[in-house]
Amino acid sequence: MKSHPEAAARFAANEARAAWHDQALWFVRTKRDRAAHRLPEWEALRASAAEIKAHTLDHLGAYLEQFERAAIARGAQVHWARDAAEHNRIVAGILAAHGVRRAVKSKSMLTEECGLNPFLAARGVEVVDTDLGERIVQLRREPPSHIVFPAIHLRRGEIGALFHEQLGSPAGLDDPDALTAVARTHLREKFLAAEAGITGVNFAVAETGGFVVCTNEGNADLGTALPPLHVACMGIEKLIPRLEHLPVFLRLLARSATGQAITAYTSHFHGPAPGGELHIVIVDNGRSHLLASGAHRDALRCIRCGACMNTCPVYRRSGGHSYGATVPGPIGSVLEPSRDPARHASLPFACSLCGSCRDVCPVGIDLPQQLLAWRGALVRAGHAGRARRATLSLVGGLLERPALVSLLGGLARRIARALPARWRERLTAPWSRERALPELPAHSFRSQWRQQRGR
Amino acid sequence: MAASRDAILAAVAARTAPERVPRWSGAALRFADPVVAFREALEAAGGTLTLLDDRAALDRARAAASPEARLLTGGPAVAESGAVWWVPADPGERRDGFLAERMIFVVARAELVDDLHSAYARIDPAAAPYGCFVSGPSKTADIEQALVIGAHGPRALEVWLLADRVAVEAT
Repeated sequence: MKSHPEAAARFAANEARAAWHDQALWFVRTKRDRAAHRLPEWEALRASAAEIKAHTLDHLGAYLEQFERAAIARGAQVHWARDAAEHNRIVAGILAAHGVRRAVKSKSMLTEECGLNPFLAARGVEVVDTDLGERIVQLRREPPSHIVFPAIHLRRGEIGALFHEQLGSPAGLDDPDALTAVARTHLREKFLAAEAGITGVNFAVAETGGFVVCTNEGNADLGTALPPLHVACMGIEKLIPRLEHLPVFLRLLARSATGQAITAYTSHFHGPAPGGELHIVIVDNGRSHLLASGAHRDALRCIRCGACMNTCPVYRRSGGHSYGATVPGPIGSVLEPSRDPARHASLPFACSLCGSCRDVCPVGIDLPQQLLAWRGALVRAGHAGRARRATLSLVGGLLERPALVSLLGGLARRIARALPARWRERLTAPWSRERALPELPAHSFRSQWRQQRGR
Repeated sequence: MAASRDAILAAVAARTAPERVPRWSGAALRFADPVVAFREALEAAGGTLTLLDDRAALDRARAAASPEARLLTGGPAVAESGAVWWVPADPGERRDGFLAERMIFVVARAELVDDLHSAYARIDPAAAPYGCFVSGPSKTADIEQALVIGAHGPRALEVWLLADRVAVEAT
């Protein structure tokens, strides 16, 4: 797999696209700011959400048991999966028991993480992602590049060409309204033909055994109102203790994600519909490990709003696919290395530690601190690559010797001034590829400091 | 299955029952005029608000409504977000509501609350298999962040806020 810098370079090579991507997500960030500023109690909401999530994680076992009891009492069937493979087997088993060949699915990063779609496809079940962005990337056979806007890396012309090729729409169509109408007609057929609806879960309520799914399109609602079988897949971290906690999170979620006060549909499910069946699959897949790790436990508070991505200068300029992970951006760079440190070792370094993600996170995850902790752990475990390791030990050794720093600094200043500009740039590449090297001063900071104080 | 359940519960350890559950105690959002705030939020969500005085006004509006509209009873309505709480009477109403081109919610003026906390204090979502806060029509911004109304569900949403509670119950 490519490292983040290699994959990011490919995305950045298309300057027009990269600039558009940067601006589009920054626009979402500004909408989030406006929505947050309209609520005087915004910071109190963030603090409350962080407290509720921390409390839930402290008593997660008790809340999971309470949730299970309540859900069963309402007639739902509850399944437990230790990992992705078990999750996929359980879902495939439920669908097979009902003879399902066609299913519709609303957005669920968990099923993406588990690779549910290819697993079901291999068993002859057609799974159609019904969120428009997810349907677009599914037709392109690529993963989502953002957890809220799955197709944000694509331009309208590319989507028009895709729909022309695969859905038979007229060539050259690039109006978002017209393209959405094409998708609506195509997906309406899928909804009407579906024998099962699969959804994710935004929040599961321990005291009632119910759960909430948030969408703007209404695809989770159509997908569960038409077929009699509903399968909901949730990570163990989706729990909150009580119904009274829901408004705290719902008021934060959409404002943080898109700048809306609330999503168009906030759907509450408690037990199966009359004559139907509801199955809830509770999945661990590495989450209990993260919980026990201590250092990265707070990352389990995440409610997947995507605000940290929209604000991240690295994400905006490198695109979601450059992370090579189910969840990209700052939170993904914390979550993914715990799954496979060697594979995702470059992610915690895809960060300038500017702290913007921490400032917008609705549940108060200290993302820069988490990324910094990962860097240390990855270097110590030997996952950071030989060059980085050698550089870090060289710089570390140098900084412990002030006299040597003075000596080499003076030498470097003298050499640099003597060299032609072109050579200086070549020596400092790739740093100087997009930047001009500043004029070097004649004297070091330390000698200037001594002079100033001597006056 | 049972083995996985026990393994997960063992792995998350701490199964102690919580002694003190955190509660939201922040300041409540209160509007000088909740109807104005509700209208603004609903319009931002792509919906429209109509104020109706009495049963006669409701009957006139109903006679004039588009035949593809689905008339539904909802409430509470939330001023901060333009959302209306809806519990379909049965699976048929739930399905037809989402398949309709246009949703119309009739809501009693007395059911308008300022913020979402107040709305949750009035409802019991666990009492029905399905209940939904609906805010405006179905929408998406998945193509280049351009807002498009009518992704899968209704392309239009109206809220009829009715001064007279008795008339709402009669719908």
